[in-house]
Amino acid sequence: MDPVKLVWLIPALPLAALVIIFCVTRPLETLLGGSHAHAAAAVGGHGGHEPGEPAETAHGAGAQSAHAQSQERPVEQTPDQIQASQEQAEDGHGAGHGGHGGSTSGMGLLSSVIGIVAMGLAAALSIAVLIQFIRDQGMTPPDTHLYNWFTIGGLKYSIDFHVDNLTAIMLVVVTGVSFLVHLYSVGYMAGDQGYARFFMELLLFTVSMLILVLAANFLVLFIGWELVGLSSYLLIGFWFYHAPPPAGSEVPYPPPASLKAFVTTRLGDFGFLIGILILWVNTQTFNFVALNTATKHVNQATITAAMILVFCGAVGKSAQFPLHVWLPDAMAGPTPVSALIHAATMVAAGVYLVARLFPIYAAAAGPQSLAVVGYVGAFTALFAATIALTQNDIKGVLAYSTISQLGYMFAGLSVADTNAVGIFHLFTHAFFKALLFLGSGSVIHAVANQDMRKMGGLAKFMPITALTFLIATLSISGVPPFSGFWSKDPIIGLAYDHHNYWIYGMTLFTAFLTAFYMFRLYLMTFGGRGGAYLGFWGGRRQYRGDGHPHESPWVMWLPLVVLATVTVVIGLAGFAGLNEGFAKFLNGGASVAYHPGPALDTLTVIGVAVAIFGIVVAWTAYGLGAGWVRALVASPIGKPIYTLLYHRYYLDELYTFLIRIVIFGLSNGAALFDRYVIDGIVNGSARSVLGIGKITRRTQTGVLQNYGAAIFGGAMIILLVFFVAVGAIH
Amino acid sequence: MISLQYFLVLGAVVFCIGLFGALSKRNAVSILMSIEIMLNAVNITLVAYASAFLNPANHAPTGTRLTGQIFAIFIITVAAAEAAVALAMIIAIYRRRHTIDVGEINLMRW
Repeated sequence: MDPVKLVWLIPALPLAALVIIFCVTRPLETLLGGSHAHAAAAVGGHGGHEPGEPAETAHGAGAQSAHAQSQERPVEQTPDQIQASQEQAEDGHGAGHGGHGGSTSGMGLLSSVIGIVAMGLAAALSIAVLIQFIRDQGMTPPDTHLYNWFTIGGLKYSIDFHVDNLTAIMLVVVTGVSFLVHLYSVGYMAGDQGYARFFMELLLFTVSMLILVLAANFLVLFIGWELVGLSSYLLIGFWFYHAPPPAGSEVPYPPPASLKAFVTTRLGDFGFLIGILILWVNTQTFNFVALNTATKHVNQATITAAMILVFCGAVGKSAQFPLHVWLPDAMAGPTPVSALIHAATMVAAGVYLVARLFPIYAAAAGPQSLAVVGYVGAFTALFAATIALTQNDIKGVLAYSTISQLGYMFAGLSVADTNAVGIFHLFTHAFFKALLFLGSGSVIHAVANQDMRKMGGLAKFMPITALTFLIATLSISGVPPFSGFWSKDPIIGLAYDHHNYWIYGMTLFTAFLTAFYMFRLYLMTFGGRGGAYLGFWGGRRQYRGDGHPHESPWVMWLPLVVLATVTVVIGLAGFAGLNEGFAKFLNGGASVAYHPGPALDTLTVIGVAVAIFGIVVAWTAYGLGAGWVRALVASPIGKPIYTLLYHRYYLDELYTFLIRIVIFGLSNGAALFDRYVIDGIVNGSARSVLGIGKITRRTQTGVLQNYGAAIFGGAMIILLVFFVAVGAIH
Repeated sequence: MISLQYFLVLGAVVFCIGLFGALSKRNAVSILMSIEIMLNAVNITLVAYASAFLNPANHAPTGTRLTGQIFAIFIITVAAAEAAVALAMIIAIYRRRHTIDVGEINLMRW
C-alpha cells in the first residue's frame, strides 16, 4: 500500500478524534463527572492559584503541602485576587489548573487517549510518507483532488492536497511534535477543568496545520492559515477565566493576549490576501505548481510587489518585526501550546509559506522581494535576541528566542539559492524549541512559578529535564554536534558567502546573544553559583524559590527524552552530510548549488567561537557569579539600555499610543462625520418636511366655503385650459 | 321666439348669484337657499335646451327631446329632499350650538 495515496488520512485521523471527543467522550464527561469535578474543586481549589501560572503541583506532595505552599507564597497577590480565586474555587468553577495531579476523570483520560492514538497513527503515516519520498526523491505524485468547492464561469475553485518533499518533511514535524505534545499534556494538564476541551483544541490546531501544509493552492492554504489562527486564539485564551496578573508582572493575561494574537496576525493577513489576489488576477490560478510557471510571464515588478505582500502574511504569522508583539503575549496559553503552536509549528507557517513559494521568490519576482525577507528576518533575529537578554519570565525568554530563530529562518531563505537552508533550521528548531518549551513547562509544573529569579539549582531536583534542556540549549546556541549548529551555521556562512554582509553581521551577533541569553536562562533555572560542574548543575543551595521541586511524571519527561534524542541524532547525522542530503532531498533529488564556499570553514570556526564566547560570558555572570551584569545594569550607560530592553523597546506602549491616535482619531472623525453630516441630512430632510407642512397647512382652513371656492375656481381653470386647448378661445 | 342664448345667459347669471351666495353667506339657511338657486339655474339651462331641441331644425338626436325636462323634474325632487335633510341638520346644529353662523361652526378648522 502506497502511503502517499493515503496522505488524506493524516489530517482525517485527528479530525476523527476531534469529532469523537466532541460528540461522545466530552458530553459523557460532563454528564458523569459533574459531581466529581465539584469534589475535586473542593479538595484542590483552596489556594488562590496565581493567575497565568499553571501547575501548582500536589503530585506526590499531597493536598496539605500544596496548601502550605500556597500559604508561604504571598507572591504579589492582592487580597482581592485571592478572594476572587477562592470564590471561583468554591462554586466549583475554580478547580483551575493542576493542584491535584491524579484527578483527571476517566472520560477525560479517554479523550486524551483517543487524541494521542490518532496523532500516533498520523505521525506513523507521516513518517511512512517521508520514507517513501526519501526512497524515490524525484517522485511527483499528482495532487489529491478532494472536491470542487465552486465554479464560476471557467474558473474552478477546488480543494486539493499536494504532497512533495517539502510537505513530507513538514508532515513529520507537525505530527511528530503534535504527538509528543499530546502525550506531554496528559501530565501537564492533569486535573484541569478544561482537560477534554484542551485536547479538542489541540486536535483542531493539528488538523488546521496539516491542511495548511498539505494545501495545493492558495485557497486551501488560506483556510488552514486562518484555522490555525483561530486555534491559536482559542488555546492562548484557554485559561480565560483566570484572574488578571498583578500589575508589573511579566506574565501575560490570557483574554487580551488571545485577542492581540488574533488581531495582530490579521493585520499581516490583510497584505497576504491582497498578494494572493494580485497573483490570481495576473495568472488566473491559485495552484502553487501552476503559479511557478505562470508567474514567469507576468511583469516582474507586479510579482515582486505581490510576493512582498504575501510575505506580510508570513510576518504576521511568524511574528517578525514589526508584528512580533503578539508572540510574547501568546505565552499566556498553557506551556504545551506554546511548544506546539508558538514555537514548533504554527509560527513556522510563515517560513513554510515562503519556502513553498520559493521558486516564485527566486525566479519570477525581483531580487528585492527576497532581500526584504532577508533583512526583516535578520533584523528581527537581532532585535528579539536583545529583548530576550533582559526578560525574567522563563517563557518570555523562550518566546523572544523563537522570534529570533524565526528571523534566522527567513534570513536563511533569503541568502541561499535553495529553500533548504531555511527549512532545515525550521526542522531542527521545531524539535529543540519544542524541547525547550516542554522543559520549561516541566519546570513550571515543578516550582509553580514562571519567574526565573525564583528558580535556580533545579538540576538536582529534576535531572532528566535539566539534561534534555541543556542539550536543547547547546543546540540553539549553535554548538556542535547538536542539530542547531548544522542548521544555523549555513545561514550565517551563506550570508557572508553571498556578500550579504549586513545580514552576516546581524546573524553572527545574534548568535552571540543567543548563546548568552540561553545560558543565562539555563543557569538561572538549573544551575547557579557554587553548583556542581562549575555551576552548571545546581542543587538545593542554589534554589531561590519555595516548596519542594520534583521531577515530572513519565508522560512529561518521555517527550523530552524523545525530542532530545532527535536533537542529538540530527546533530550526529550532520557529520554524515545531512545538510547536503537535506538540500538535495528538498530539490527533488537534483543536486543544488548548496555546497558551502571555501570561506565557510573559517566562518564556521568564527560562528562556533562566537557561540562559545557567549556561553562563557553568560557563565561568568550566572555560573561563576561575577557581578559585572549588576554593575553594568546599574551604570549610567547600561541602565537606560537595560530599561529599554526590559520594556521591549516600549513597542507595546508605542502601538497603544499609535492606536489611540490613528484608530481613535479616525473613529472620532467618522463619529463627527456621522453626527453632523449624515445625521444632518436625515434631520434636515425631516425638518424641511416639517417646515413646508407648517406653511401649507394654512390652506386647509376647515371652512367649507373656501373649499367650495377652490373647487369652483379649479373647475374654471380646467375649463379655461380645455377651451384654449380645443381652440374655442384664442 | 326668444333664442336659446338668452336662457343660457339667464341660467349662468342665476348660477353665479347662487354661487356667490353659497360662498359668501355666513348664515346656513342663506347658503341653503343659494344652493337651491344654483340648482334652479341648472334647471333653467336644462329646460332651455330641451325646448330648443323640440325645434326640428336643431337636429336633436332621437330620444333626447324630453331628457332635459325629466332631468329638471329629478333635480326638483332631489332639491326638495336635500332641503329637508339640510334644514334638519341646521335645526340640529342650532339646538346644540345656538347659532347657525357657519363661521362659528369651526370643528374642522386647524
